This record gives sequence, structure tokens and C-alpha cells, in this order.
Amino acid sequence: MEASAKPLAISLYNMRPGEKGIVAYFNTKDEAIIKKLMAMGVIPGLPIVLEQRFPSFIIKVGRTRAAIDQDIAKTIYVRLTTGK
Amino acid sequence: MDCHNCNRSCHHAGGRHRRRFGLFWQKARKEMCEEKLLKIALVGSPNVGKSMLFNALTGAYVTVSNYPGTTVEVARGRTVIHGQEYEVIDTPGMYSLLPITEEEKVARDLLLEEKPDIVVHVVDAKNLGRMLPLTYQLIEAGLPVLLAINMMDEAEQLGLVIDREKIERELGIPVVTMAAAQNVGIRELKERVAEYVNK
Amino acid sequence: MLINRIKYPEPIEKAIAEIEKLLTVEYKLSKRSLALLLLQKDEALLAEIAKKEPHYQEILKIIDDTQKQFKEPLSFVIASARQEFALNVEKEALKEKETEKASITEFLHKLTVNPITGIPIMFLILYFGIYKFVGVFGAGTLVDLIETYFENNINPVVNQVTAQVIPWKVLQDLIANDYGIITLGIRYAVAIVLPVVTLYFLMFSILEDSGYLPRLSLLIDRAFKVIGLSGRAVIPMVLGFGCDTMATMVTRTLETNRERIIATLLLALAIPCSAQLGVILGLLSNNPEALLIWAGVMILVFLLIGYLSSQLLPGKKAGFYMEIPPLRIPKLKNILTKTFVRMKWYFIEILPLFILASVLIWIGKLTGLFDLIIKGLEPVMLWIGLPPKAAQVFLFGFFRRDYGAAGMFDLYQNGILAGKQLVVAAVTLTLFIPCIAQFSMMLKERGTKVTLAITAFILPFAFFMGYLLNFLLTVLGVNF
Repeated sequence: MEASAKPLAISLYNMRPGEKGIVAYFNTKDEAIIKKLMAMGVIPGLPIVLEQRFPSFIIKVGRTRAAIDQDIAKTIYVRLTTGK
Repeated sequence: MDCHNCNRSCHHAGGRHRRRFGLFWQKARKEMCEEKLLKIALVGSPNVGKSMLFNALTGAYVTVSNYPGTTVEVARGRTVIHGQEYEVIDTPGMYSLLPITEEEKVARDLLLEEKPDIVVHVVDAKNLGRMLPLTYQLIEAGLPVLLAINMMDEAEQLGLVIDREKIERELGIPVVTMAAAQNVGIRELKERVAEYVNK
Repeated sequence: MLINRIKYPEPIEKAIAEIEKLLTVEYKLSKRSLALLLLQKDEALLAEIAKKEPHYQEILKIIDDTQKQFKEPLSFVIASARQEFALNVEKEALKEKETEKASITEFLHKLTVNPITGIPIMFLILYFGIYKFVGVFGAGTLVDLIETYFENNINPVVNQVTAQVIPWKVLQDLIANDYGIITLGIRYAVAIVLPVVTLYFLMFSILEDSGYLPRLSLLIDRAFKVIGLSGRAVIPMVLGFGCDTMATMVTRTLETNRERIIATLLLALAIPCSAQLGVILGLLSNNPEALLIWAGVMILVFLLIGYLSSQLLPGKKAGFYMEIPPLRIPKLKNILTKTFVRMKWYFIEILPLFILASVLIWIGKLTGLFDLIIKGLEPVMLWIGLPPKAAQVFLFGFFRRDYGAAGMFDLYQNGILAGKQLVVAAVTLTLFIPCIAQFSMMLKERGTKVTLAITAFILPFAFFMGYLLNFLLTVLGVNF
């Protein structure tokens, strides 16, 4: 699995609500965060939608919906598939 | 296979005393019933209906006690399949064999220390793909694993159709589908457990 | 049956093979599994092989060399490889039919999480669920019914029977009369606590099963960050309104020790349990202003102390991540089962403490120890503008916060407490130390040091707030 930063990957934190993409990689040294995200179903290679930004980020990956805070949203990098 | 004497001596439901003499109990019980009583351990991540399955299997005879040296609670109960008694252990939620939280660590220790005769990995049918990694890890660890795909009712509402036999072939372990909340599939699970243990 | 084994990337498979060769001792899990966990830097297992394995250093070297071949942590590489297998199995075995998407639940979900509609919905749920259902119906209507029944039918009978059977007045008082095990302990448990706690657990189970709680968590997370908690702490906090003791136990689900300590402190200080809530709502319901002042002070204290402790306590800030399950119509059977199991827990844990409290009160009265403590408390009472008689209420408040609250109710009915004294007493009592049950749960969960530190802060703080409020109300000339 190649997870180097390809040009199109942007942080989830900079996405707009309704934008879709593919989870690319996690930009963090904290392995615990990576493990939690993967356990919740946020897995590189899966399609992701950002549904809401405030008060918490709400994402949908596959059939799973999850809420995360800003700090964790900053660590998830996504390759956009539909630009609005 | 007469376990009557042993049952009587091991099957006290004395809540308070039991907690106090928990360690003494476990020792005594181990000595008395070790050969007779088969163990089923339930594992899986939180929110997959593990506790509901535990209740469906054990009914009312449940003791909850802290895992030695921690504040994590572990529930134990009994179930009978074809006249054979089993101890059912409900482990704390775990996502992976590599523990992050204290609860996950306790769940792993339990699996390794208790040497269950069968490990039932309970997963949510709707999120099968992200829960199977733990199944693989349990198989890798050399544990006797059975996969119980729960919440089939909710999966059906979403229009999901699961090919049980295909998964069985892919993983090489017994697979059961169920909806514990509706009491669907419990009997089949028991059958498969008995079949697996008496292999 | 042939087990279909996962193939990991080549360098990892090579490392597994090498590590397996170096392991000499028998372990409780397979060598392949152990090697994989070591590659993922499993601390407990690394410590174990450090003790047991002669080739420990070589194993460490293999792990380091393998890590050098990957950009990401090995745990991520290994998890990804497994995940890929798992997703392939899912793809093979799972077909998705196009269904009518349950658009109603989607619509409801949007309503509950969008801040514009979600926050009013949250207040509505709290208002009807907690205030109307638990407070007014449970703590008001039901408690009155059962209390009256006890006072008219059970207590007189118990008093009469004990008077005839037991010749000694001292023992009679242990069982019956004003502070007896049956007439006070069990009466409070059954008449005041049982209806309120049952309704509360019922409501909590409904919220839990409907999938609403995670939505509440995501709405509140940002606000909770200010007081050093994450959205995850919403669940113990909401549960605290039912039973602080149980909520203290549930703080286990929080991520960091720092967050657990803050949550425990706030539960002990500013969250009234349903038994207290019931009595206080009943007490203050005649003066809406008094109720508002009480609620305002509580919210203020909650936010202020939370903010201060989040500033002062060291440690990592809690992150928030939570799965949001679909909204569902809860199933009656499951709700009843859950409520029943929680009630059972409550009674097994708490009823003995009720009886113990009655016995301690009896001993305290018998030995004159109580009179001493009450004498000591009287000046404090006067200092915060309360009648000396209130000292007894505070002393009993330690045995059960609701004893205290209920004792206040008696004082109010006898006209001893009036006007602003009511609010001052209600505030001080709510802030005051947790009841015996919560105290013992705190010891169990947080340890002696933290618990004593929390208590040492709460005691003077509660009386100080009482003093301050009394002072402010006097200066501003507020009375009811």
C-alpha cells in the first residue's frame, strides 16, 4: 500500500460539507489515533463523505457514520473524487 | 459425564460473598470443575450486541466481578447445551489483539489465561468488513474461533444479503448468522458450538 | 478445514519467519501471532520476552530493520494488510440490494445533529425527559403517592409491632420511629428513590437504545472541551442526574485519567442525582425565581470548576471520536430488561448503604456523637444564614444526599426554613459532599488520594458558596 502524499490529498479539515473522496492516509505520529480510526472503519482506500463540520465533524465511511473533533479531522487525508 | 456434585458446589449465586472471596472461589472452582466445565468466551468490539447474546445464552445466573487488579468488569454465566454445562465469559470490548485501553488488555489476558474451548467472535453484519480483521487475528493466535454475525435484522433493512457459506469457506471456521435482540439464531449458535467442541 | 492465512507484505513475512525461529519458550498464543504483535510494538509482550528470551536483542533488531523498510508505523502496515483481506471477503460474500432508503430516519438524523435544530431538540428532550417525566411525574406525583401510603399504612403498623415485640426503647428506635431502618431507611429507598430512579433509568435506556446519546455527544463535544471533557463524557454526566454513584462507575469509559478525574469531581460537586433533584424540584417549585437561581448557580459552578480544573490538571487533552449508530425505535423488551438490570444493580449496591446509614444515625444519636457534630456545624449554619436546625440536615446529607434533601423538606414544611434560606440550603446541599455510596465508588474507581483531594475541596467550597449566595441575596435585597 503506497501512502505517500499524492498531490490531490487534502486534510479532511479543509473539506466542505457534502464533498466526497477516498481516504488516503493519516498524518499523525500518534498510533493510538490511527488504530481508533481504523477500528471505527476509517480505512485508507474506502470512500468517505464529509456530512457536517459544526459543532463536530460528521463523516460517513462505507456504511458507518462517525463523529470526530477538529484535531482528529486534521489528521485524516483524503483524495477528493467530486469537487463542488 | 455427571457433573451434578460439582454443579452444586460451583453454582452459588452469592453476589456479595462471591465478590469478596472471588479469588478463593476461582481457585476452588478451578480445582473442582476444571475437567468438567467447558468454556465459551464471547469477544468483539463494543456495540455489536455481545451482552445481549450473553444474556440470551445465560439467562439469570450471572456474576459480575472485577478482573483481578483492575476496575474492568467481567461477566460470567452458565448455559446448557444438550445436557452439557458450559461457562460463558463475556469479555470487555476489544477491537484488536493489540490492546490500547485497559479494557482491551483485560480482554486479551482473559482469552489467553482462561483457555476457552471455543471463542465466539461477535460482529455486526452491517460492518462485517471492518470487524473481520479481529477474526483473522484470533485465528492467527491459534484460538478455536467461531464467527457469529449478529444484527442480521438491521442488515436486511439496509438491503444487505450475506452469503454465510462463502464466508465459512473463505475463513475456514464455522460461521453463524443471528439477530440476538430478536432471539433469532441462538439455537443454531448453540448447535454449532456443541458440534465444534465435540469434534 | 484449511485455514486461509493472511499474507503480509514480503518484508513482514520475512521478519515473522526470523522472529519465530528465535523464540524458544512456549507461549499462550501462536508464534506467528506473537511475532506480529512484537512487530507492532506490543509493550506487555515485549516486556515478557525481555525476561524470557535469550535472543531478545536480535528480535529487537529485526523489528527495527523491518520498520526501516516502511514509511508508516508497522502496526498500520499490518492492520492495512488485514483490512484488505477482510474487505475482499466482504466484497465476495455481501450483496447490497437497492432498497428504499429509510428516508425518515435520515431526515430525523439530520434534524438531531444540525446545530440549528439539534440544540432545541436537545433542550426539549431534557425538559420533557428529565424535568417533566422524572422530576414532576416521578419525584412529584409518584413519590407523594407512595410516601402517603407509607406514612398512613406502613409506619404506624411497624411502630406498633416493634413497640409490642421489643421491650427496649433503644432497639425500637433502631427498627422503627423517626430514624428506624424500616421507617426511615427502607421508606426513603422505596418511596423517594425507587420511583425517581426507576423512571430515570427507563428514560436513559430509551435514549440509549434509540441511538440519541452519541448525537448528544457530538453536539456538546465542543462546549465540553472548554471544561476539560470530551463529548464522550456526556454519557456519565447525563447518567449522573439519575444516580451519581453509577455515573462515577461509568467514567471508566473515558479515555484519559485526567478526563476521569474531572468528570468524577464535577459529578460529586455539581450534578444532583435524581433523588436530590426530586426533592429540590419539589421544594422550590413554588418559587420559580428560587428554582432559577439554584439552577443558575449550579450551571455556573459546573462551568467554572470544570474550566479551572481543565486549566490546572496536567495531562493530554481528550480527543473525541465516536461511532454514530442509526436512529432506531427502541424495543420495549430490551428497555425493560435494561431498566430492570440497572435497578437490580442499584438495589444490591445501594440498599445495604441505606440500612447502614440508618444504623449509623442510630449509633450516632445513641452515643451523643451526632450532637457533638451538630453543635460544631451550628455556627457554620448561622454563618451562611441558615437556622441551626439545618445542621442535622447536612449531617444526614452525608449518609445519603437525598436524606439531606428530604430532611430539608421536613424543615420547610414545619416553617423553619423560608424564603432565601431555601435557595441557600438547596445550593449548599447540592454542592455538599457526595453520599456514602458515591464516596465509596469514588474510592474504588479513583483511589484514596484523589478522592480525599476532591472531598477536601468540595466541603469548604460548598459552605463558601452558601455564604456567598446568602451575602449576595442579602445585599441585593432578594427574598421570596
